[in-house]
Amino acid sequence: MMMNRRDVLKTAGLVLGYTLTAGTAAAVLGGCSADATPGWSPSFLTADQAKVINGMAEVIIPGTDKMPGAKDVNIAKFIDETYMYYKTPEQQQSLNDDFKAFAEEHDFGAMKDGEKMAFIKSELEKGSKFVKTVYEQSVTGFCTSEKGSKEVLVFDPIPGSQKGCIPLEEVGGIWAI
Amino acid sequence: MYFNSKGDEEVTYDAIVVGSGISGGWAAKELAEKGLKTIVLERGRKVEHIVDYTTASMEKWDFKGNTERPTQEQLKDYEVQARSGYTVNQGHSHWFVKDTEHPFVEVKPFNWMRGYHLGGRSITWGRQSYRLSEMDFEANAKDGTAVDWPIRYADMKPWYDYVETHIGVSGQNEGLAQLPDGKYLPPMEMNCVEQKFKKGVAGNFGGRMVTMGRTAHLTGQLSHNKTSKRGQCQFRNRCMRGCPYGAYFSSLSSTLPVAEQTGNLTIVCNSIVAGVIYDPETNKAKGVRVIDALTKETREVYAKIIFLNASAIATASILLNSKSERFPNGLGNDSGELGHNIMDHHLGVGARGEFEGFQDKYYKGRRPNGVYVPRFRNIDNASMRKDYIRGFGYQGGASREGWYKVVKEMKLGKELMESLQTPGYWTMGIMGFGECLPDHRNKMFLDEDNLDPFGMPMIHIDAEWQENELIMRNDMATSAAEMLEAAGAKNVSTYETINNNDKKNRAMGIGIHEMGTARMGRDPKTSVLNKYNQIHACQNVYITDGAAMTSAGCQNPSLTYMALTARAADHAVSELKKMNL
Repeated sequence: MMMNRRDVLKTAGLVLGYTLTAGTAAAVLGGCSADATPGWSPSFLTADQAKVINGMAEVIIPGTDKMPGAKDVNIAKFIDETYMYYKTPEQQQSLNDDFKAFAEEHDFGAMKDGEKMAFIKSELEKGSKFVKTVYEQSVTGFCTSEKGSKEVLVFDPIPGSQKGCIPLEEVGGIWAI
Repeated sequence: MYFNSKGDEEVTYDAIVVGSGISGGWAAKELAEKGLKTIVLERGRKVEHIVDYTTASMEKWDFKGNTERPTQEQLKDYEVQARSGYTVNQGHSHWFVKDTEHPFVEVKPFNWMRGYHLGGRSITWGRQSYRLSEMDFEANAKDGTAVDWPIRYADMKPWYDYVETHIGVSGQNEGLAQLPDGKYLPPMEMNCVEQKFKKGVAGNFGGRMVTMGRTAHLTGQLSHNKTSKRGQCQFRNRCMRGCPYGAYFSSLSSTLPVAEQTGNLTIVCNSIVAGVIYDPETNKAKGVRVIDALTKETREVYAKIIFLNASAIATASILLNSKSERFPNGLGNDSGELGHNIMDHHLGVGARGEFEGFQDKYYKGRRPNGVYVPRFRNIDNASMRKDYIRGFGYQGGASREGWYKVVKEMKLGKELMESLQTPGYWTMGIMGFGECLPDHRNKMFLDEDNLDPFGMPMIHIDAEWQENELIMRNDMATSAAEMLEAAGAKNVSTYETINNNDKKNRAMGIGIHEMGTARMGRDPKTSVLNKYNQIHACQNVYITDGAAMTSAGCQNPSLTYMALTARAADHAVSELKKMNL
């Protein structure tokens, strides 16, 4: 994987990332699926919550024409599993309360695409608990997903050797693990 | 490997080894290689090298919610084991006991981390491998603490050489009196900030050293070919799950396969040793009583010599539970020290900071190791402290911030996608590992009116960090910050988890280096073992796990257990040949 990236970087003369890997090539050629996990339904979240979360996540992590984004990994599924299996009842309750308070004031689904980014930004700056949680969880879910790890970050499951100090361009990105 | 399922048909061996972890595996190897028909009794389940490393190649996304951390459901079974914050997770919690199934009583909080399966904690150990030095073996005698070690570095040096050569330790010789050189495979590499730290420390604190961690991984060829199960480190840093390359030392990759090749080894799993059987006519032990962990049936196994390698607390518990007319307080407990003097290493104190620059530099490979700052306090006249005795080392490392930096930056959209292409700033942290003094007040004992699920008297542990440890910690935090700052770190902060916020989770045991419960000594009145690790008054019983330690040093102790074991096995076989046992 790393050799591929390095070779691509060298031959294409590109800087830091934005390289076409085999995975992204397949995604581009095959067209992105509208639904990253067909048939999935949430266990902890409600369907409405899942929809709002994925809507926000797609704005936070839009992807590029060469890299996958939130829409390719189903962030709501990640948050659903996180809260289902790893959070305490208090933390679960807190998310539901935060969502409820948020939904009483805002209808994210009804906003125009052009407004969403500014809205999330201002909510984060205001310290909105719900939006902050979705933001942090979205980044975490994306960067720990298979697609995020392999196609946005640099994934090298079996390094084989260890080098203490090498030029960043030899890696060409952030290590996924 | 021959797994005896015949039960009582074959119950007499030359040697019994209780436990199959780091020291038990070594006892099995040495005794079997020297021709003794040896049985290893392991209380846990059978595990096969590689085959049973079921999570070894799992990626984050193979776990629910892209994380191997423990589920809320799982945590219910691992209340004590989970306190470390890293031992219990989905990648390797199967190497730790469920506290619900293996209870003990914490008179004071004690983090007793256990792994009951073939290979024991040799599968999950930290692999850091340091020798004790002459000043460690002399320390008790010099400062008048507890009792003197009955051995000195010269007694141990050839055995350190011997075990390092067999297991393979990657590291760098530095010629330090407080941290003896060894037989090392090539060291791993420091990254650029660690190199800067090393220079900064050397330049500002004359003689203070930063070296590469010494770790039991293969970074080169072993000089022997005794087992085919060892491969080179691939730098995946998933060691605790079990290494499919056999790249680090474990009983399963190293000692048990060699023992097995001799044809002299029998391993029986699910065998809890309840006690040692003492024969008053010979003044020797004649065997052990075993509880079958699955059926709870009991049986006896006999041998000429017995090695107890069940880990410090369990070994002492077996002896305390071995009462006879001659030993009413437990086998070998004439001194009353059995179960006392529990030691560990205190950690969870240090500092971290940020380093500017090196933005065009990175590293490759997930190094399963860090840098090491050998002890620099109380090693000579210039370094003497008035406020505490002994000392500490630091383990740590530097890295560049990964993807999580974007959360702190609150980046969104296109900016976020761009930010995910470049790692963040460099941070470096070092954490102290401090020496813990032997203290009679720190003890374990059995409650015979209160049995565990296997019918063994419940183990009670009553131990806590004492004054010298707690005072030392102030210096451990301050010195860490001073060194980082002198090396150019910015935003340096210290942390201290025992004196401050996390008392229970950082209670004794958290170093997972419990030791001292059956100490070696010169005088049978004040110690349990002699200089060859024999029980003073029952010389065919050898104890070579952490229980034997007379003092703790500040170095990770497993390498010393290995060397003590090989040395004791050599003694046992030569005594057997002389008909002395």
